[in-house]
Amino acid sequence: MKKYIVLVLLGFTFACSQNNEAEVSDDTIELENATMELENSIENSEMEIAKNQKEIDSLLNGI
Amino acid sequence: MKKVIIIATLYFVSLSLSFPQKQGKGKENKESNGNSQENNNQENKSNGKEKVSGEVLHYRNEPVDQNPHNNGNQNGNQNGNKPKHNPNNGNGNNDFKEKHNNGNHNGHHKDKHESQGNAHGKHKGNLSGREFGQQRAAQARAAAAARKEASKKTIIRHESIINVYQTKIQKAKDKVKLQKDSGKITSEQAKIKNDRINLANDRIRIMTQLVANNRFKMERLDNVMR
Repeated sequence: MKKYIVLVLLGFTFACSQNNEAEVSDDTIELENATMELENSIENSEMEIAKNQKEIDSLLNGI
Repeated sequence: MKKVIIIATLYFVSLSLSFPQKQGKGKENKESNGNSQENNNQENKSNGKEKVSGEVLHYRNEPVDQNPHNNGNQNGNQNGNKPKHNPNNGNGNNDFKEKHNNGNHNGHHKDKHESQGNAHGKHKGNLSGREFGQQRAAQARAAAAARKEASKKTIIRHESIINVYQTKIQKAKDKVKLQKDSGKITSEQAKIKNDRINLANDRIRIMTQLVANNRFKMERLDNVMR
């Protein structure tokens, strides 16, 4: 009988040890998303501003 | 009684073994669906705590990989001019790229990071779930602070560019007016020039909106950081 109880406990312990999922809070996810969003926005605006600069230069050229 | 105990043991063992498999399936589904960042965010938030098995990485790195220049050449990201403050660069990002890589790449960088096991949630190494979460939170805070500082500088630079061009446009306006008043150009020529100046003004407005949008996102990040 004891053997079986030990076996059950071992099985339970093993199951718990396998369920070692990462605990990442919502705040961390939100922070990561906000960072990524800002990064993408800045990268996008870099390109857009460079493009608009060129266009303004060509529009003002010859005035 | 013995049978029940044996069945219970087998149940626990099978449960423990099936857990990673379920996560793996979930990852496949998400990858195949081409999910958006916001959808993932909602999914992650639904349970209060994120159960990470590597799939989170996918959406976090997806925007970076949308760059068409990355296709087939991984060096684009490593040798690029823009500094990336994203802590995932070179970690899980490489996992994703490896799957979608069509051409040659320098695998040394990737192998190095993969061996360290930094693919968030997928290879936690010796860390427990809680420790891993704390480490990732610290990384996120550091990345956010770095990104905020870099963005501040970029926004100031963009604002100065806008100011320079606003001055240029004002000068052009004055010049056209002077030319028209002195009779150097006809009113029709002046109209054409003013139309071009107005188009340039529209571009300035677009640039101003972009900067305002960046400021808003930076403030949002600031609020999240607090």
